[in-house]
Amino acid sequence: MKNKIKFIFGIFLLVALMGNITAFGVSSPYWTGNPLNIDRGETMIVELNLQNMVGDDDVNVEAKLVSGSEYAKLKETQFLVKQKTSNTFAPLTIKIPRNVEPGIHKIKVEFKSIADDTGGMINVGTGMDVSFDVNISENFAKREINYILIGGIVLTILIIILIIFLTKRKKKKRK
Amino acid sequence: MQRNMIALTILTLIILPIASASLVGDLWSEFTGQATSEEVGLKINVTGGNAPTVEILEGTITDVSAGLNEAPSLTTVSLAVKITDQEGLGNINDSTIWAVFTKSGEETRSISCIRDNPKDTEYSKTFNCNVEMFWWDSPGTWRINASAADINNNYAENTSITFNVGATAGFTAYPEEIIWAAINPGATDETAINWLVLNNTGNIDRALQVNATNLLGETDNTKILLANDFSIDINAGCAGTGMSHLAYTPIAGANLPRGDFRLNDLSTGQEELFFCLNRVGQDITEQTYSTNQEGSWTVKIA
Repeated sequence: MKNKIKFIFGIFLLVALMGNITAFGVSSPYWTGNPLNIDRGETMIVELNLQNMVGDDDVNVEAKLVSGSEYAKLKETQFLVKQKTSNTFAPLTIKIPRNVEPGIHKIKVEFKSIADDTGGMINVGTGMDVSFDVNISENFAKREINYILIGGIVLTILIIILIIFLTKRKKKKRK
Repeated sequence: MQRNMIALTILTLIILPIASASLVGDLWSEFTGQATSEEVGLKINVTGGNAPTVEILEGTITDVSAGLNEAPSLTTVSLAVKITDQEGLGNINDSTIWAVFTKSGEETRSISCIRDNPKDTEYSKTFNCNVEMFWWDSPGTWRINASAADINNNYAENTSITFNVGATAGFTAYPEEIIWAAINPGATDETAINWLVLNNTGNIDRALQVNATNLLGETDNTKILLANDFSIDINAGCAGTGMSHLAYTPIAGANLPRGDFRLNDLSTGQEELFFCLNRVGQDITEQTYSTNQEGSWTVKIA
């Protein structure tokens, strides 16, 4: 027995056999076989929805963009998914430049639960890939007119004209 | 003259029935080959007028394009249907209003709809339908069939509307730890005393990958059980896929199909993974080895 390695005994074994891995789920409006069709110059936000309907504990989830970083960006990478909820969103911004070639590009996000140390020999955490294709069309997205910006510029010009006008008027009066 | 008229009348009375009954008919069929008469079945349904019309109110359909709830929660997809009958709302049979969801290769989901009385008009009634979808219902386009009948059994349906179901990735696994009872230095092919059972809580079939770490001695961490010395299989034993240190390795033959894992037949919506320690170094000392220092292994659906 001297060189024998003893790992786990008694009550710990029983507990280990009974426990569930804390798990979670991710929903997506796009998946392999159902691509996101998008125009050049277009920006979209894909809401990936994290759920924790199974477990009785909150789950800490880490997200990592594995493929498609040239077009996609995760706003956040750490999420606390509370038990019995299905409304934790991981917004994924897809931004296609106007000068990109049309074609299909893969987006893959890896989600991983941050496992607690439970003191066992091999602790097991869970993870999942959410991937879909982005189908970039030949079309160009219409440029959006920024009415607020235009309004602001017009207003500024009007104010400047008014100031110049009033200044000149004052000068005339002094003369 | 009068005699002639009487004779002609008698002759006509004799010939006419014969000619009309068979002779002309026989001659007609002989020359043309066409029947002079045939039996015709008539079936007349006497009903109370027109069938109702069924309108699915599109704006009322629950949006599930971002995916269904993961197990064990069901997802309620609601919609409203408006049934109109020219004979007046009293002619609509409330118990015949159904909403049915269909998709090729999928189980049909259906519900009897409930009347929303405040929305009644002179000729129409509105019904709310709350159809429950299961977590394994596949993503894609589903068709709605809304149907109704009136009190005279005039039936109508509307199958013009579809809706999209998104994809959900999810699974659970148990237990939390994989353990070996006791192992001697230099041992080979030692199977763990427990194994993982995985349940697919989403609606897509998945392959499985595992990212492995080394197990370091908790007292002397220079003594290591290497990740590369472990294997995982879908069957008990030690002939499984060898692990790689800090890399996701696809497990050969492992598949986590969507389905009702509550059947617990280790097939529908389920998969098992068995762990083996294929080699133990001779220099290993007596202590506890664990993933505490390098981090847990990760089972991933890909």
